[in-house]
Amino acid sequence: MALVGNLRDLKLPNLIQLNCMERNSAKLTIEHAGKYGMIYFHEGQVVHAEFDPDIGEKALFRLLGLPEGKFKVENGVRAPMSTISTHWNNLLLEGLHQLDTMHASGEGKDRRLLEMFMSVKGVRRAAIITREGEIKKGDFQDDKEFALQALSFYEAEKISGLLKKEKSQFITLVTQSKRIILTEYDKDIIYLDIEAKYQLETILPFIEQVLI
Amino acid sequence: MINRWLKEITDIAGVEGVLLVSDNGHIIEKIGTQLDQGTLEQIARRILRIITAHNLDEKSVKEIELICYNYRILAMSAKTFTIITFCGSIRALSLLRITVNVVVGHLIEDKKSMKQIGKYTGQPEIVLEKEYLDQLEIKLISKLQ
Repeated sequence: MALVGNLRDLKLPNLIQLNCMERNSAKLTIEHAGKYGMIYFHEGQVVHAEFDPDIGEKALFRLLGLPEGKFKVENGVRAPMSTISTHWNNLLLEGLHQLDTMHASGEGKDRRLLEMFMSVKGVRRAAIITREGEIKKGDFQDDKEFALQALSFYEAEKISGLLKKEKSQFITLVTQSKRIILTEYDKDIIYLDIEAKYQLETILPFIEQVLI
Repeated sequence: MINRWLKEITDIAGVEGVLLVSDNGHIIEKIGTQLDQGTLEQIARRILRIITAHNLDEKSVKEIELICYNYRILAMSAKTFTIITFCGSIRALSLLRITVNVVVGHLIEDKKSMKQIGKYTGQPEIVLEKEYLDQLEIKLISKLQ
């Protein structure tokens, strides 16, 4: 019978430790914001991890950063491949060290936020841009696009002012090739590029969840 | 005819008003909204500014949505006009989208409506002219050219 629960109640490092100390061979599936991550154990060692688009240690470290998510442990499931050879003890130490370093710096806060957006199913790219259209944090550069979306955000703010409403919570734009969500973050703007096949209505609740 | 089609949109529960705007921000028709003409013109111009700026970068915008908690503005754009819908709390958002899409399609196909819209179209770049922009807008638009 599978063990199921939520990472809010049982933290992932404890879950990994438990499976390794019990010398389990199992598959651990984690569902967070509509996206799935997997960690495979073989005779008490972590041998493989996946969290779209990453595999191996990078995927595992990203999974360690998830604050919550439903999990399921299925015993006796074999890994489809082996991408991790580091001892589980060292893996956990390295993963937790990376998280601590990220939390300690302001930059880490932004990075972690973007990681969380990237873990939402359907989010293709995420960035934090300034109101002047410059990139503040993100893994891609598109000066024209950022200027364009900073302008869109600015116009939307002005419209909210004209309507005497609260500031716009979200601005969504659908172009021929893209779906974009913009939202305020401190004094900056969060820019999310959404895969065309996803409805913005289905993504927005997950985005709100990350922002909370 | 235009009025009849726009009424299809305002008949949806939660819709407070609808505007038909030309590509240069001129309000061709309005139904239902309590906002004054000056405010509506400014809103229309700002939405058209987003659309025209995207065109500068060769990215045609089909849809813009501003979500302020329980209030939404939905703008759907065709080549020469945009329909702007103001909504309070709305349950049937999908129905609204489909209806606006259908109305856009009908207007494009209806020669009389297009002739009427055509009287007001042209020079969409007017919404990007410096005399209407503040410093930040000028700076951002200069990065697109």
